Amino acid sequence: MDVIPSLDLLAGRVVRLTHGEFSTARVYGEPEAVLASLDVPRGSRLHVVDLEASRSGHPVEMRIVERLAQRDLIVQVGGGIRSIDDARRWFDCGADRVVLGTVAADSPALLASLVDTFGPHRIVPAVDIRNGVIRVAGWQREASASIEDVFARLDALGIPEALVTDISHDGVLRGPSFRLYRELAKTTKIRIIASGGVTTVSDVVSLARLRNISGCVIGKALLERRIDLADAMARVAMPNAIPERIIPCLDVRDGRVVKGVNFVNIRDAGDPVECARRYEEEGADEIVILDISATDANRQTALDTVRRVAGSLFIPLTVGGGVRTIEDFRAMLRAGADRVAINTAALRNPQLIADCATEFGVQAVVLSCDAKDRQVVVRSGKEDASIDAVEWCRRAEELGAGEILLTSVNRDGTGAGFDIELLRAVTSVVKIGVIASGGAGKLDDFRDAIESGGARAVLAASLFHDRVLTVGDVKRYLAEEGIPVR
Amino acid sequence: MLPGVGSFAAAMRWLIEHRIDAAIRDAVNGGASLLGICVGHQLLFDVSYEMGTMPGLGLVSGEIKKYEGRLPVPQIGWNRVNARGPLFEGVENGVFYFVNSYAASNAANEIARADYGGPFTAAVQNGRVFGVQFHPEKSSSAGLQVLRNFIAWT
Repeated sequence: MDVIPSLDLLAGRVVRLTHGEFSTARVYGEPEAVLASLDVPRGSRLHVVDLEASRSGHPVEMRIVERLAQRDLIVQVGGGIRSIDDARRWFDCGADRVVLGTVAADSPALLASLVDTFGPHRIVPAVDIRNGVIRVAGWQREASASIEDVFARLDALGIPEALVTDISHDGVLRGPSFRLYRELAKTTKIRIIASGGVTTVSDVVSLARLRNISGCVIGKALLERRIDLADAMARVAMPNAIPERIIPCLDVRDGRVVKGVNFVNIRDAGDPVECARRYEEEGADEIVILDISATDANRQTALDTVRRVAGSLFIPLTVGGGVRTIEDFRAMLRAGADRVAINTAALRNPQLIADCATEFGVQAVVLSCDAKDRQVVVRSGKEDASIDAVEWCRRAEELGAGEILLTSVNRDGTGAGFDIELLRAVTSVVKIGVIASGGAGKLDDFRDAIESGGARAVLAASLFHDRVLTVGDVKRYLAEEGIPVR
Repeated sequence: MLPGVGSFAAAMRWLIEHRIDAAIRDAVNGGASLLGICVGHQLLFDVSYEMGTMPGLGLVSGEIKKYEGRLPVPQIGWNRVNARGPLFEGVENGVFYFVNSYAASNAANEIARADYGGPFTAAVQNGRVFGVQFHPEKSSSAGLQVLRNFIAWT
């Protein structure tokens, strides 16, 4: 998949408009200076939009396209192209391809003659879709043809690639429209250049995992430095290098696995050793034990449980619950935990994160963050800590946490799916891995937490205890969906 | 077996202080088989640059350096290797559990390679001395197979 930086040009400079209003233009500078600051390598594809041309209907920024083409960049240019002459003027400037919006969806005859004149590989139809319908003329009206008809027509003309933007997603908090791209993979063989909603490197990696995506246009996120271009390009070269993890969670009380919604109606769900071993056999990548009794009287029981499970397990074990001091942390490691999750104690004393990271290494320290309506809560949601969850996760990374176990208290036990917006909010500001927790109900949820949420691991408890799904079911499903698993 | 979690320099100083370094070299010279795990694997090399420069046991040639790629360090998680030789029989393309910030790359005695923002040496063999950068004891069935292979080979 090609990572394609996008430059919107107005009056010779790179700009961004808000809601398409020319009066709102924010100026980023001369195109060459912007390309240099983004470190765009030679030979890259570049997406250029001539904003003035899209308003006036006549090419304006031809000199710039000429300069860019001479810099060994593969330029595709769009903006108000409505005739063969318009297209020819861009090609004469050195453009490699032209991008057509309204024409592609609404003027089949003109599209056909453009293809006849310049060849199908030099025409990139831009298809903007809102709620399953193509929009044209600056999104102001519906196209006359359906998505299926338009793609069938492009296919018949031999056009290999189309730029698809889900405008119901543009600028929204859920990221690129993976769902739309997956649907298109079923209906057309045309390869898709994805556009809109790309705000993190994880988004770029997730797009690269889809088999019908040939490119990904990124504008604002590059200009605003939320995505480092070299980073994105390196990750896209090997999008499946690192397997994503599935983690069953054992809530343990008095040496037994228990389950219950929001800590009421707690029922016995078996012996921790038997559960953990079964999950390892099913393909679990790690086990989390949360000791929910965690009173001083029961601390010894909890350590015994950890010792028993660690002694029979050959995958990593993370343990949390009631860890208040560096000595508690050490005791868990000595009992056989590979990593220890700290929660309430870290809120009361953030330095505990740094102290444990220094003493035991960052790989051993997991911050467990329970979030309700974006606020950190403690004691299973009974108490509001008055801290923004995203800010707390960012702070924990600075202090030395090696990973974050992020639980949505709103979703926990509901089976309604993970809180994708919460996940995105956190994964877009931290570099360390985030384990998604709270809300797993069906197979799609695991995919979405990784693909859209940017999670590096997904945790579930009752779904696995109740054998609604096995770990194996989840991993087979993810593999089919193009997400790498062990 | 030379297992290990922790820093190279601290581990090496400890080995020297307790004269275990000499004992290991004598045993290997006397024909013993050795398997180093994680930091134990790194200790087999000539030198490490974790916290300054610290010489290792010198049982395999090469250097231990910090990851230079763009991925978060430490690497914490599963990674696929591309391996050959008796230690990896049946798990030549196995996925193993790694926890490390430092690694060798392109080592002369390399028998397994993996990629973490760039290729690195996941395992080495020099005669009867083996080292694995991952944790076989945490790598489920693939890891147990490596341990079984080591025992069978010796």
